[in-house]
Parts: sequence; C-alpha cells; structure tokens
Amino acid sequence: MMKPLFLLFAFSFSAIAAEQTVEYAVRGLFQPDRKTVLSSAAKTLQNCRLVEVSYEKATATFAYDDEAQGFKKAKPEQVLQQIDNQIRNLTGSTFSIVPQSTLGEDKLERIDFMVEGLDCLGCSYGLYVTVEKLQGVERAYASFHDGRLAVFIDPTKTNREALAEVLKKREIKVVENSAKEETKPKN
Amino acid sequence: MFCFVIANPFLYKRYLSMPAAKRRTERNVSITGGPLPLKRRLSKIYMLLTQVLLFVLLLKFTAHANVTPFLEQHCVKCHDADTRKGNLDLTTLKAEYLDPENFARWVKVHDRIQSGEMPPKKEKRPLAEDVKVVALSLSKALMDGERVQLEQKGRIGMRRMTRAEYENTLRDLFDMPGMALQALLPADGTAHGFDKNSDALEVSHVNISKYVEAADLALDLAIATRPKAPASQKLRLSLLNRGGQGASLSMQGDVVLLRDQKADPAYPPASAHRHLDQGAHERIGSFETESSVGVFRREDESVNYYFRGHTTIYPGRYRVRTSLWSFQWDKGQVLPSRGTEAARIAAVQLTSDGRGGQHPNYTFDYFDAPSLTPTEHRLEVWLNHNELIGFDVASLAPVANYSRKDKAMGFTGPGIAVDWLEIEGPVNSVWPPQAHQLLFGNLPIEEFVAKDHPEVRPPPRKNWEKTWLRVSKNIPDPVTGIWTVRSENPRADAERLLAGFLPKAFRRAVEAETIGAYLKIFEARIQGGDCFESALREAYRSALCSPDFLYHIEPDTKLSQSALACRLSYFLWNSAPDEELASANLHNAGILRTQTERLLRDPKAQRFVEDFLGQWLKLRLIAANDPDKKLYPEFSPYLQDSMVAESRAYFRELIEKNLNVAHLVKSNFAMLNQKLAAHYGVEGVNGSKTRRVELPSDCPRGGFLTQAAILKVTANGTTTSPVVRGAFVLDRILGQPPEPPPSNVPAVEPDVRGTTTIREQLAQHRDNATCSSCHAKIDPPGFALESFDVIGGQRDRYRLVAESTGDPAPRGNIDPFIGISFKLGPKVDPSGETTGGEKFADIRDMQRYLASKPDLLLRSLAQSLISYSTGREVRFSDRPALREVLEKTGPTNGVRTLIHEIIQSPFFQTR
Repeated sequence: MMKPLFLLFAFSFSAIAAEQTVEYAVRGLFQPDRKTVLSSAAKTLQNCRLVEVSYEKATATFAYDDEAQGFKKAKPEQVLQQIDNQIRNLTGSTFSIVPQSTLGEDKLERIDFMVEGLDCLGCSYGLYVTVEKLQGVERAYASFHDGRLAVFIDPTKTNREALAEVLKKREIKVVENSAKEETKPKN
Repeated sequence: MFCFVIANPFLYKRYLSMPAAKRRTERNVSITGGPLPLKRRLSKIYMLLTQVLLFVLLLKFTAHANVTPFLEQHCVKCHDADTRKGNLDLTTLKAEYLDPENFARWVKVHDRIQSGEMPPKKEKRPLAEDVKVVALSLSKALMDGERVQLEQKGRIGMRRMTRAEYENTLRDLFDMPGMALQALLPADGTAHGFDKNSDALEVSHVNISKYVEAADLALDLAIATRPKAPASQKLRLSLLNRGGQGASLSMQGDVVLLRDQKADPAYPPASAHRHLDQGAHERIGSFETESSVGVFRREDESVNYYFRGHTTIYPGRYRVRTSLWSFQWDKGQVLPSRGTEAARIAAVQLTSDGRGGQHPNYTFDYFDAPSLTPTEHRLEVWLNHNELIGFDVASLAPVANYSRKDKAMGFTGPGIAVDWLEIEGPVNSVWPPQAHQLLFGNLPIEEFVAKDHPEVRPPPRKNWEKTWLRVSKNIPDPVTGIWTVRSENPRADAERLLAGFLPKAFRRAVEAETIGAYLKIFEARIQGGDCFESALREAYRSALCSPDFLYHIEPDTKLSQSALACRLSYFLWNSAPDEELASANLHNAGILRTQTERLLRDPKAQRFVEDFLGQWLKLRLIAANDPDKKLYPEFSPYLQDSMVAESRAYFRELIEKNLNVAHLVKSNFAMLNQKLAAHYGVEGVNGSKTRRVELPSDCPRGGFLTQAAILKVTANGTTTSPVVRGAFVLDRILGQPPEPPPSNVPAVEPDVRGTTTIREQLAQHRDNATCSSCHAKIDPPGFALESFDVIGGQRDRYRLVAESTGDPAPRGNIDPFIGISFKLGPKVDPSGETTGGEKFADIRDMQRYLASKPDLLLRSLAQSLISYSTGREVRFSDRPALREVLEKTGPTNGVRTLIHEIIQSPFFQTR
C-alpha cells in the first residue's frame, strides 16, 4: 500500500518541478573562440545547464531546476549568484555572470581601436579586463586574431577620448585611423 | 654544572680516565666540591712548581753558555734595541721557554741560524762548526723546554667535533645525507690554520644549547611518525610556475617560450609591445603550458629562477630529472648555439637565514646544455623542509632585455632552454626509514589513542604541513591521529635499543654502566608520564649532547683500536667510522694501509678534500669578496665555482695518481671545465664537468700556485698585493709563515688609478730597515704572481677604472655579451730576485725555483696534514718524528704516500 502512494507522490512532485530559464550578460567573451571555452566548461554545471550563448550580445541563457539544491526557492539574485559561482569556479574566474544591462542596444555606441602588438590570448584578455571594468563600458571585445578592440559604451557616461586615455596610460599603443574601421564582432 | 665539566676539556679528560663506576661519584664531587683535601692539593702544586723552576734555570744556564757569545758576535748588530731588524731585539729576548711567545721567537732564531739564512750572506760568515754547536744547544734547550710545557698542558687537549664533523657524523649515523645541521651551530674558531685544532674548539653554553637544538632536529627527522611513508609525488615543473619570476621575465623579454625549438606562437616573444597584465595571462592559462622556457638573463641581485611548483614538505630523498639544451636566439629565430652552455641546479632555502632565497644555499651541480639537443640529466638529492629547486643559466653573460627597445625580438645572443624539470619524492625505499630502525628497531608503529592511556603523555609532533610555505603544486599527505612505536616490554626494549645505538653514536664499545645511566633517564621519563617514544627519545637526545658523542675521546698514549679508527675516519671522511673500519685491526700496519686506501677511494673522501683545502688553501674564503664589476666584469658565480672545483679536483688527482709535491707549484696538466679553460686561454675544453687537461709547455697553470681560486682568495676583489700573496706562499705552500707586520708601519694600499705601481710603493716601503728583511722573503713570490689579477686571469698590464687615463682594453677571452669599461694601465713586472740571490723573470721561473725545493714543499704539506688529522700543530719537539715521516715518504714519492706515512707514524697513532 505504501509503495504506490510513494510513487504517486514522487510523480506529482516531479510534475510540479519545472525548468526555468534565465538570460544574463557574460563577462569574459572577448574573442569568438571564448564561446567554445564557455560551452565546454559549462558541461559540468550542477543542477543547471547552458542553453545558448550569444557572442554578439555577450549574453548566455541558462536553464535550472527550481527544485534542485541551490535553486529551490531561490530569489532571482540568488539564482544568478549560484550560476556565477559555478561558472567562476569552472573557468578560473575568466568568465562571470552579471545581470543584463537595462540600456537598449540602440542606446549603445560602438568604438573600435586597432591595437599594436596584440598577439596572444593573454594580452587579449588583459586588454579586455582593462577596458571592460571602466565606467560606461557595457561590453567589449579584444581579439589577437585581428588586433581589434571593440567597445560598446553608454555615450552618456564615457567616450572615445576617455578610453584612449586609459589605453595610453597602460602603454597600449593604438593604430592611427582605427576609428574608421568599425565592424561588428565576428561570430 | 655538568656542562661546565663538558666545556672544560681538562676536567673532562680526568673524568673520562676514571672507571665508569667512579664517574658518577666524581661528577657529584666535582659539582659539590674538590675531591682532594686542600693541603694535599697545595702540596702537589708546590712540588710541580719547584720542579719546573729548577728545570728552567738549568735550561737557561746550559743553553746560553754557547749561544750568547755567538749572538753577540753575529746577530746583535742588527737585532739590538735600536735597529730591531725583523722586529727582533735579541738583547732583551729572555731565555725563557715556558712563555709561548718567547719560545716561538727562539725557534725562529734557531731555524735562521741552522739554515744559514742568518747572519745574512753579506755579513761575515760564522764557522760552520760554531753554527752546528749553537744550533744544537738551542735545539736541546727548546726540546727540553717544550717537554716541560707539554707535561704541564698535555700534548693535545680534548677535542670536540667541528661543525662539519658533527653534521657529517649525524648524517651518516642516521643515513640522512643532506640533513642541514651545521648552520644551527656556532662557527668554529681556528688555531694554527685549522678548525680541528683543540685550541680552537671551545665549548660555551651557547654551543650546548645549540647541540640540544640540533639533536632535536635530527631526532625529528629520524623518528617515523606515521604507519606509512608520505606519498611520493611526481611533478613536472616549469620555471613559469606561479610564484616564480619566470612568468614576469617572459613578459619583458628576458625569457621566451619555445615550442618545437621555435618561438611559441601561442605566447610570442616580448617585443616593443610587451605582454599586457601578467595576472590576466596567469588566469587565462598562458603559463600553464608544456612549452620549453628559453632563458637569456643570468641570475643577479633582482632576478632568480626557482621551480616554484614544488616546495618540500617532507625532508628526504628526491629524484630530479631535467632536460636542457642551448640555442642562439636571433630576434625571434632559434639557431644552433655557439657551443655547450652550462646550467646550475641548486637547493634554495627560502626562509632559513634571512637571505630570502636571493642566492642558492647550495649548488647540486652544473649541467651541460648542448646546442639544440635536449639532454636529460638525473640527480638524487636530499631536500630539507621548505627547500625548493633553483636554476640559473650559469654560463651566460649578464644580459637584460627588459631595457632593450624591442625586448626579446631585438636581441641576438645565446640562451638556455629548460624543457621541464621533474621531481619525485620523498623516496623511501624502506619504511620506517633506517634512522628510525636504528632508534626503535622493529617495534610496531601504532596509533596512540589518548583515552586508552589517560596517564601517558602522547609524543609531541612536528607539523611539517603547518610550517610549509604553500606556493606549490605538491600536496601534503597528513596523517590522521598520533602514531608512535609500541613496546610490550618497555624497559627491556629500551635497554636493547640503547645497547645497539650508543656504541654507534659514541664510536666505541660502551660498558653496561653507561647504558644503565641512559636507561635511568628513560625510566625517569616513563615514571614522569612520557610515552615509550618520548622517554627513549630523551635518552637519545642526552646521548647526542653528551661528551661521549661530542668529543673525540682518545687515550693518553697509544690510541686504542676504536680511537685510531675514529682518527682515521675523521681525517679522511670527516665523520665516524663505518662498521668495517670500526672492526678492523688497525694496529696491524698492513690492515691500516688497506683501510686507508679504502677510505680514500670512497666518495666520502671528498669531504676531506673539501674541508682540508678549505682551510689549508683558505678556499673557504673564496666568496669573501665580490670582484669589482667594472674592473672584472667577466667574473661570475659559475667561474668562482669552477675555480674551487679545479683546486679540489687537482688535489684529488695528486692523491689518486700519487703525484709528488713539486706538483703543488708546477704541473703539466690542470683540472678544468669549459668555463675555467676559457678563462685561462686553454682551448678545446667543452662542457661543465671538470676533467684533466694536458697543458702546453709554456703554460704557467696547473699547480696550486697559479690556480684561480688561490689567486682570488689572496686578492681583495679590486687589487692584488705581492705582500699578501707572497705571505700566502710562504705560509701555506712553503710552511714558513712570515712575521706579522709591525703595528706602527702602515699597510701598502695599491693604487687603481695607475699613478704608481704596487712595486714602486713596496720599494719605498722596503727602504725601512724594519721591513726590509721580511719583505725580501715575502715579495719575490708575490711579484711573480703579479702576472695574475684578482680573479686569476693572466695579465701583462694592470686594469684601471674607466675614469683613469689608461688605454682601451681589448676583449681577449671575455664573453662578447659582457660590456667592458675598464682600461689598461702600467705594465706588470713579474721579475725579481729571491733571498738566495737567484733572479727570476716571471712566474715560470718562480715555479721552477719553488719546484726545486721538494723537501720544503713536502715538509710544509706534511705539517698541514698532520695538524689537520691529529688536531694539533707540529711542535719543535716533533721535528725528529716529522723528519722520519719525510724520509719514509721521500721527495719523489707522492701525496698519497705521504698520507700513508703520516697515518702509520706515531704522530697519528698516539695522542
């Protein structure tokens, strides 16, 4: 008698438990091949999974079981923290998850720089880290494959000159006329 | 109080001469008061003083009946109170031989007269018969005087072990070959040139407390505290491991990453655009790579290379393998190198002595890095707690690319590549280790559960994991719980174990009463609540701090079997005898010879070579000064180590090939590696290993006299002085130490600006009559050695600082990557005239002159070896015995024969 009751209860519970999806901004997607790195690392996420990564928007969609450990009755910010912690641990903190910007794409301004001597992954990441944390920077891309730094900014908070000044201080040389070579980041 | 007895060799000698049963009584008596009634003691002292006084008066009267007129006639003219030539006033020199200073002066007077050196040749010659009579009278008086001295003081005082002996003895006893104990102990003094001399080996309360500390450390290492050995780990390390400087140096171009012997495309060499943000590179994994690391910059004050991937937790044996090769870097291209380069592998103790690991604590070895051929090297080493492996591109010039505009991409020059370094350990072939088995036999190691033994204190544990500097990839393997030996029958086990340990530690048979004394220590601790291990450990600690362990205990006259074995092993191994030596019948001359040969062939004989040369030729002072970088930019630690390696290998060769003593000053071969050969201008030597190299006939190198190590220890890092070097030759090579300079005569300071030469300054100095007689002997070999600079390079002109008005210096043998700023000044004049009036043009003539005096050279070396091996200098009254040793050796026989004859002589076999 007890066994059928237990099964019925278990079935009811699993039917109630639902997979939720959330979309966050991703830090650390500075080069196209970083998308693969993130996807690979995310395979071992616990109680959640990576659904999709958008390199262009630098966002990722995650699905999680809202009854699973760490997510049960979790508030939205706790869900974010749970996923962020896991992502950081799995990637040596080279990726992190943050809330998406409230600023619409149409409000963003893209600024490009061609950077001299950008020739390795570490330097790309170093350059990305330098720029990405600046006030007014919504997202950035730095690739040693084409030597390009692309920065999406909130023009009300920063501008090209301010960014150029920071690069100069860090002794990062920028190729003249790089402003004219603005393109979308490659997939 | 007992420490006071230990610290006083004479008290301790008396203590030891008593039967064991009486020792305890005597110990009590000496602690609480004198053992003899006061009246009886005073009476003995009075009798002794009377005898001495009568003897002195007799000596004075008989000796000087012949001597005084001779001195007045031939000597006083120059050695009176006004002239005092050679700082000697014979008119006031009393014929009293009990005063050591007076005695030494009379010995010199005797020697000068007997050798015919005095009166000087320009003065009227005394009759040969008169010289003979005077020399004989003086000799007899001195012999008798010394006999009285020795009766008063004893021939050799009690000797404790030197620091090196102490460390080696414990290393061998516990089979822990790299255990570092020496640095814990206070430095030893020296007397008559050696630290083994009993006069130098005092014991203070500081020594005692440090012996306790050292014994504790040794026991910490020896006792197994876990049921199984800590897990052995094998790690592949890179100079780029986090915490080291390799990564940051790669950011600025002093290090490059190589893959398949090309610049690594994943981490291109630093160029005008240096790599950004080391932290970002580390996080993204740029240095977690299997790439080889190419190094251009040598270790210096601000740069050092450590394999930070492994910091030793558990002291012990470790296997190290590494793969090295060299290359020529040409602005991003990897090309064949200029030849084999050399890399240094060393142990670095990060926190031991406050040097913060700036320099390697000790070098394991130098290894070859051939051109574009990865070559694997293996070594087995002992690593102490918190030691790690250091590295250096030893043979490269001190270049630095960080200041170059295009960094590595603008550099063309040599580099050394490290593919990897692998470390495996701790390696324990048996568990518990041999040291533990010596202390606790095969008693089982079991977990100590406190609740099962509420009345017993558990053994204290050293927490290696807690004191470990966590900057590496190796991981601790801590043990859960407290594990210790268990004994079912503590007293019987303790007695059995002590009976096995004490004879080995004390290096002689140990009577039951002594074992009983240590057993009482054990029992007292057991009763006090200690566990078996702690109680027995206390007994062992007491033994390792006791005079029986710390002192060389020798009977008053002929050495016993065990004392002779100890004397032999401390001579040739600087450590205790092994079982074969301890059980050999060494009073049989043939067996003694066979054992001597065995000891000399053993690798441990290298300790004798290093310790003896360190003192005889002062090689311990090799790093006493760093040569001026502007005057001697080619100097490097690798060159310095190569110098020392030469002298050691040369002495080893003299012993192995039994070469005669003329080789001390002149030879047709040298022991060189590539670095030193280049320094000497000898071609055709490749690689870092020191080997025998035949020399061209006109090459002055070879003998000790012209070895770079000797030339460096006799210079001050900036200039050379014929006086210092001449005095060294007289003292160390010829065994005729000159008088110290009079206190009222200023030292001669060489002039590096080149306005006056040292020879010109000395000429003025020698015009002073007080100085001239000594300098006539000191200066000639010093002048001949002026052909060599402070780092042993051959020269015909002096180097001057860049600011002076000299000529530009040609590069010569100096590495093309070393900048030169010094100039060339006055010409060196290595010519002169010996005291015997023989003229010499240069060092070769001086070598021929010195080599023609094999008797003098043999006597000098024999004196040094006797002093080193017996712990006492050769005294005046030893001269007949010394003569016998020299006659048996003969001037044409070699150094090994001399060692044998010394060991077979009464010098060695009696106290």
